[in-house]
Amino acid sequence: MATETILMTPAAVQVLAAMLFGIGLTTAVIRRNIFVVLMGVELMLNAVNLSFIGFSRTLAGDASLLGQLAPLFTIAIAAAEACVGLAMVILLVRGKDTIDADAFSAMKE
Amino acid sequence: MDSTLLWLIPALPLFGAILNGSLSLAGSKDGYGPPRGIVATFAVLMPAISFALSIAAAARLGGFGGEAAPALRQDLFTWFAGDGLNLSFGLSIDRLSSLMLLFVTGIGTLIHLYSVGYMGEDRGFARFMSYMNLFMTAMIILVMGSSLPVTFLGWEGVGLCSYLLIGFWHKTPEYADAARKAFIYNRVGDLGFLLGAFALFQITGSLDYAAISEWFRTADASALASSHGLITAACILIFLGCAGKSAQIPLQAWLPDAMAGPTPVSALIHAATMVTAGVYLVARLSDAFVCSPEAMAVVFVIGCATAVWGAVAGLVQNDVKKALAYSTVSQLGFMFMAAGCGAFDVALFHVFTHAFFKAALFLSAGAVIHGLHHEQDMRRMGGLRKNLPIAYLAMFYGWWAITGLPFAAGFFSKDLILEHAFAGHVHLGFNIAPLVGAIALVTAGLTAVYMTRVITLVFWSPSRVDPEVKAHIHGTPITMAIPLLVLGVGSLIAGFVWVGLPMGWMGVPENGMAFLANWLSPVVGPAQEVLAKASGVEHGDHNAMAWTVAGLGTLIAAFGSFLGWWIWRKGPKTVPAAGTSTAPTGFGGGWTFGFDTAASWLVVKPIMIVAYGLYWVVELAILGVAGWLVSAGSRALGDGYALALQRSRLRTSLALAMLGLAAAIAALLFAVK
Repeated sequence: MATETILMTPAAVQVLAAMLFGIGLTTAVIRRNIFVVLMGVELMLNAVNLSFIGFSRTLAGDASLLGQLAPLFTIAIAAAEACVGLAMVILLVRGKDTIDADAFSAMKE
Repeated sequence: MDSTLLWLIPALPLFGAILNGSLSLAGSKDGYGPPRGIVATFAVLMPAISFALSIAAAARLGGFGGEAAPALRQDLFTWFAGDGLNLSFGLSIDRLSSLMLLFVTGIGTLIHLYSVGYMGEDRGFARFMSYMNLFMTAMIILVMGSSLPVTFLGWEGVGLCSYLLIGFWHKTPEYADAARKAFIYNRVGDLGFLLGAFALFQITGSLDYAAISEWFRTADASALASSHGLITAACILIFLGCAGKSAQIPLQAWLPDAMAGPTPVSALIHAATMVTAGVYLVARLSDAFVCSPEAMAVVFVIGCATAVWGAVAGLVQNDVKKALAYSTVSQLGFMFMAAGCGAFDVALFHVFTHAFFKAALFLSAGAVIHGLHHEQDMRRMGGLRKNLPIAYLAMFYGWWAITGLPFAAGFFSKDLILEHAFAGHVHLGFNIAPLVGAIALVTAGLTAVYMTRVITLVFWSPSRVDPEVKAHIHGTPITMAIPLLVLGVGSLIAGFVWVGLPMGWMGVPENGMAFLANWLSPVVGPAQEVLAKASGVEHGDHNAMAWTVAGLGTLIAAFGSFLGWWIWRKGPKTVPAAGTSTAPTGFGGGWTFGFDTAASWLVVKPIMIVAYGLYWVVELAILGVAGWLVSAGSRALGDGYALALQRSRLRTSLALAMLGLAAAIAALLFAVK
């Protein structure tokens, strides 16, 4: 089996999506820079989109259509989410004058 | 007058109320309030047009200008419809409502005119007139309602207006308390009204007065006997409502406190119109009441007791309005006494005459209070004949009427009550007529004593007015003088309506010596026939006794009046120190406030005890322990583990959330398999 064929199998797409999700999660958990945490979260989001696309190729009928539609919605909403998320991060940074995620633990009290 | 115009009678004062209410709200910001001329014009004009329409309706019933109609009726809309109950919002005028309507709108208009003079200086003049007009609307609906729910609407409306007007000067806490007291006492009565209405519906299957009367008039003996207990319960419950509205024992304590309102309110609502609604309702449902001798006995005994209590309490008051208020309580007792004897037409006649003379008395008391710069204590009055001649004249006529001295209004109505009390229609298993008559006679004597006391202390005794006040007595403005004189003269001549003198001159076919009885006989006649048959007392017996009773009544009134003048002609023995309370003390205080004390011990304190019990048992013991268990449990859990998680860093929280999500998905997958 040629290399490109292996890469185009449904399982390969899902593995790639899972890897992307893992990278995003790891970034979000281990990095302390709050902007990078946000980037990790965005990466996770796109990993899920990729997974949807993969399934839209594998599954038939309505499920396939859903697999194409869901990412479109997600992209649109993610744009808004990124906007709000960035604004929140900027406000947080302004408030504490730091970009260290560990500094934001107001729920302690 | 066409029956399609009936809706105008309540609608016009409602328009006035809305207009003046809006003006009051709109003008509340600037310092002067809305223009008084406009407010006064509309406030007086609207009830006046209603009065004119009421006259037209009464003329139609009496057969002027065409065929005499038994009743005018207009169904405005379907109020509620359901299984077995279709109720239209109906207004109707029959002979009973037309009598009530005439004096409600007529005397109401006069008192509105009086209010222009009395309240014209007040900051809240527009608000006051708006409430007064609203009261007229509610009272007219009460009287014109063709079924129990429509009457109940008016019944609640007058209660609301009474509350608003008693507490009109709500910045004084005692006045606001008095308003609440009136409202709460009336609520107790209203519960009785509602339950009684339900019971009547259960018995007759209808809430319409015509249908209810028809049922009781045509029901055969077995139907009446089988539901006798329910009928008695219904009548007693309805009477509880009447006792609340008409200030009868045990719900009478609110009326004297209601004198906190401005004097025109006391005259209109708490003397002439609203408080007689109970008598109206008993007469309206007379066909039901006569089917239950027990309920009639209750009405009679309560009326009797209230008449005596009120007369004695009126004797010991220092506040002129309080004295008149207890007098009202006593006179209402007389009305129920008459109704309990089965003389519904006489009860209504006394309602009618009382409206005139009590309004005259209250308005002249108001003129005195106005003249003396809000002085209400009779110990600081006296010798005001020269200073306030018009008020004196009106009070003199009112006094003449209420004492029962010959030829004024009260002479006729009180005499008829005494006569019926002696005639003994009351079913208590034995003949109590002499006892009952004696009680009524003594009370009539007491009435003369306390009323003479009032007029003596205010006008006849030497002046005890503060010289500073006396130098600046306000005269009586023309808007107050006209109602005073009209009502004063009315107190003199209203009694002749019974014998129908004015109507006789005008050539009404039905007159003779009992014009009013004939007028009312289509409504209350059948009920009175039932009672007359049951008691076996013939009309002939009445006539034989009438002159004796009239003589006795006149004698005791004259004696009581003389006694009242003799005792108080020199003024009260104690000269009051400035700023003392007007509340009676000693025996008078005990007698006056006895029912308040009893209510406090029998109702308020037990409720407080139950409330404290509930507080300790439910709030502290049950809820307290349960709450402690919950909070202690969650605190133990939270402080131990949950708190540590809460205190973790953001990244840890995220990682844990993801782990949790993964665990949840894994669990789902396994569950699906």
